[in-house]
Amino acid sequence: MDDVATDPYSAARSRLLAWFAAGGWTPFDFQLQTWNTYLAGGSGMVHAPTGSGKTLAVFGGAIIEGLQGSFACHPERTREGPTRRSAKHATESGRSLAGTLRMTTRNRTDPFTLIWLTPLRALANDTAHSLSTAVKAVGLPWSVELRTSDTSSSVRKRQKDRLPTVLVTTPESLSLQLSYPDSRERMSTLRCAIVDEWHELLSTKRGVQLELGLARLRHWNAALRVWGLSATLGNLDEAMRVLNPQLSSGTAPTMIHADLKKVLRITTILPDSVERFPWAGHLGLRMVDPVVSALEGYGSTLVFCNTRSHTEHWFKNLLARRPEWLGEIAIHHGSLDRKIRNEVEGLLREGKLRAVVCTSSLDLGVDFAAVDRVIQIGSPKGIGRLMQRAGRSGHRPGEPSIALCVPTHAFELVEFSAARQGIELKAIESRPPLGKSLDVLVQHIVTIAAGGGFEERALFDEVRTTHAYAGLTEQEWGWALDFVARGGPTLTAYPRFARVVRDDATNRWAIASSQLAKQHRFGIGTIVSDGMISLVQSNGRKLGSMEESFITRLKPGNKFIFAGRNLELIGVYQMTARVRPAKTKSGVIAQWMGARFPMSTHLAERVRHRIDEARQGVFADAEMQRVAPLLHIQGKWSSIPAPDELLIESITTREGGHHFIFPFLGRLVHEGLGAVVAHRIHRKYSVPVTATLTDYGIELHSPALISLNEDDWRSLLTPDRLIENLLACLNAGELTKRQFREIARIAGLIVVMQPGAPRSNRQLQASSELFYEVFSEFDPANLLLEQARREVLEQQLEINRLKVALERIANQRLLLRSPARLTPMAFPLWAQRIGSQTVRVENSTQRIERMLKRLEAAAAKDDDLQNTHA
Amino acid sequence: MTICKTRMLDFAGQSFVLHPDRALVWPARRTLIVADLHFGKSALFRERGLPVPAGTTAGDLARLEQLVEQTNPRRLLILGDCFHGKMNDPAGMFEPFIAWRQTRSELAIELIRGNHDRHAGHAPVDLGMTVHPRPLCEAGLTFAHEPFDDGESRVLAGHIHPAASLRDFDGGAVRVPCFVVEPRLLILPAFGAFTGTCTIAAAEKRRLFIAANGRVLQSDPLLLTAGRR
Repeated sequence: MDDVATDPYSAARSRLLAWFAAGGWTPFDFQLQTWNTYLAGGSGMVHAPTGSGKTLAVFGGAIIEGLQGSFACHPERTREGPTRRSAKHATESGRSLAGTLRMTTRNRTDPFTLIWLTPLRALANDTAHSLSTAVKAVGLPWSVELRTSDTSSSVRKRQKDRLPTVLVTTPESLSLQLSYPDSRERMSTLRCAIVDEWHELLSTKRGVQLELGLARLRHWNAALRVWGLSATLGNLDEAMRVLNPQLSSGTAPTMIHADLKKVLRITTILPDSVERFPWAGHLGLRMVDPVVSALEGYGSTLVFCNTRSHTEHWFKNLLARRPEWLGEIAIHHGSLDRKIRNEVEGLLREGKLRAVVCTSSLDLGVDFAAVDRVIQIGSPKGIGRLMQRAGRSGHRPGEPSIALCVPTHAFELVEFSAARQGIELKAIESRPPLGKSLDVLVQHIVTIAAGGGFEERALFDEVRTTHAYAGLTEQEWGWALDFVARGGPTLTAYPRFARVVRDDATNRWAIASSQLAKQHRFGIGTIVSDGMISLVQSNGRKLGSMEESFITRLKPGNKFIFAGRNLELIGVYQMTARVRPAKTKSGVIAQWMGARFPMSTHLAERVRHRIDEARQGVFADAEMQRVAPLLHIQGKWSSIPAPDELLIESITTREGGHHFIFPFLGRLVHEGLGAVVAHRIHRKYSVPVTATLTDYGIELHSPALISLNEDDWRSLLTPDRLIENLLACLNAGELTKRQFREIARIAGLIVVMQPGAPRSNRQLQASSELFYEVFSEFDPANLLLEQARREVLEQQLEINRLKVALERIANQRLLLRSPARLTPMAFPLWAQRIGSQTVRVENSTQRIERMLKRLEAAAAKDDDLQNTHA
Repeated sequence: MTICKTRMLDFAGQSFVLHPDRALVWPARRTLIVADLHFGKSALFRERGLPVPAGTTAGDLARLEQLVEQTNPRRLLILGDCFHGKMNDPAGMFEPFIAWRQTRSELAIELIRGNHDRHAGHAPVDLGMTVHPRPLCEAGLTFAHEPFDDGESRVLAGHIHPAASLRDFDGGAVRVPCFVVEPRLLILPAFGAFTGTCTIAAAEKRRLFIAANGRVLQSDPLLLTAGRR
């Protein structure tokens, strides 16, 4: 171990170790290693599963450094603990203890030193609590405070004067900090940034936003240490380099692995009979009884659902079966008010809850030692996600993590089996970082313009230090700056527009007006959701928030279920909906628009493997054995494809003609495949085609069955002219328009309506579709349109994977089948068609034209009828 | 040249022509009726730091000019929301309209003041526009901005920006601007291009006339998806 004589931190280190010892803990090796790297001025990443003590890895280093600094100024502190000192001080001066402590926080705490960035607000609370516990225990004169969108205005005001020593916040709130004119002064003392759960942010625009924020902080302090904390990923090293793209000190970032052996036990609640179990669906309420029995007489369980709506359904149904569990089970998701979430988290921590029905809101961070087991309702859609969720349970040393999987339809048995195999094979997904997103850049430029302004060249260089914008060209940069300065490169297209302006004397760019700065701050962030309406009870209690599109469908007096409560809508005023408890228990369950997770490529590969085993009569585990009869029916009615075969089923129903193609490549790849094939059919046969996509296959639906032979399919599925065809369907169809929604919001085109925003903002409401149309018509060269197309191509359709997929198909044998009815594999595609992801290839004029022709035909028929009667 | 199919409609004892360019013609009074132009919306957006390219106003004015050319009215009646809102420098909002007005000086222009017009402030005198702060009664009809039903008035109004949502074969829907016609109420679609729409549901004694792609067609209630009642 360290030589006490040469270690300048030995006294501080002992203080921290003493606190560990007092709690009966021994630091893990990876914690000691991180402390040392940190104290040597290093940056890096700690790879550790949730709940393994990673919070105190980097933070422990910061504590030691902080203690050492405080000892250097006040040598007497090495001998005394904080509580004794405060108590003594209070007695001596005759002042109240509380008063002293308040004085301590106000005047004696260290300046802003560390920023802790977390992806989830729900995490922020718990993190602040545990950081603050550690700080108090070792007697550091540090303040630890939260800053999220939930933070009260009085705390915000205080933080505007002076930041706490440790600020726990989100990427959005960091950007917000950077948008205040005095941000540099207030943040100049910062020494370290810690990004918690970095894997969650990595391949998102929030991650890109964070990269830009860190670049700014590094620009102010080249010695800033940046640390990431991440769960297992396929691309850990890349994840680390994104956070630390170029260390000015020249030292490479350090990867520290927490080598903790944890046993995962993943089993499935099997349905009694797979034939009578639904072939499609996503609620899985058929399994409520077995889940109730599983919750009986067990410790605390987290019940993970894939969407917020599902948590509401499951909570309601569990309570309906066991009304006496009222108060013992709780619901938790991201749209619930912070207070409600805090209450639930608190009860869970104390071990007072039998179960919490939750979404990914409890995927991360917060260490709940009391959780004995998790239940996963429906497919986790990713190997890493199942592993992460299972890891939420069994925190006590030596205890295994236990996950119980609950299928919502028959084929999920295959997915559970495949996911478990994936974990055994350590086939964990990668999360590729995103490239240069112009929308995020545009937002950042305005943020910095509001936050003290910038010199053009300096900001360009700073932005290019990030991983995301390393390849940003002069031209793209020029366009982005022009976009906020003049609307676009052409001076005439945007008369009297300016969001940022240049002061010719100083050559610096700044925001055009304080009103614009205020408007911009409301819109900072990259999470795009429908307009949010807050729900408030008549007694003033806040329940949470709902999407505007759901609330506007309700009328006053209508009943609905939210946060597990039966509510009645009183009325909506501005962005607030007043509600009261409903007397009856009927009501629609709250819905949110959020898309469902697509299946990861890694899991899709495992699923293909399992299905191929089944084709050969091998059923490796209990899940596969239970689903065997269904696969048997599939084989009898149609076929189970081998790896070198592509199954296509064609069938007519009363809704028209359907072709089902089963590449088993995951929804993302299917979306591109579906778009290209639908486009080719539309062009060749001049019929409307709608493609519906699931993780297993593609449905091509047209008003009548198009009969296609092997040669026709070969030409529809050829890899030739892929890019050309894709571009054509991007220009025509809705894909780009849909993607533009997010871009318009991030680039600040959509003014956010939320409580506190000026009322006159109502006059600034326009949908992203309207912007899309206006840009397409009057400024078609607008790079945001280009970005939308690029995002669809690269991220959504993943053109490279699409090319590989088509090349693979070119070498597969086609199994063309015309089953008499929908097969077990086709049925889910058919049943999930409404409300799931679809691709249309006509443009809106063509679509309207077709609808009008239909109306005209109907009208002509009516006229004929009238004529015959006359 | 695009096809342009209008449609005759009898409403409250008067004959009207529904025009696919989202306008109503009242031949008996040689009056062209439009609603919800929202002039200056893009200029206001730009003033407030939102980059909307110029061109929407010019496009709207070109369509208006074409309508006046085609239907040769004596009077233009605007059912409210001619102007979008309050601007620091309202020149960008009024100027294009004034310029067009000068080429059509013989045309009488009347505006039923809408909620947006109230925010926008007084229209410049150069527009030579008669502004009615309250609904206008004429020939047994009431011309208003916001639709209302008092059980007897025959109301022509705007404000809602109605659209019909047509169900496609695949279960999806297409939204198209429309006229809403009820026994005592006729609502015009919004004329301005840079405006949103509100989906109107089928109802008893309600007919929706779709105005798109150069023609006006009555929609079949069976084809409509749900919307505002």
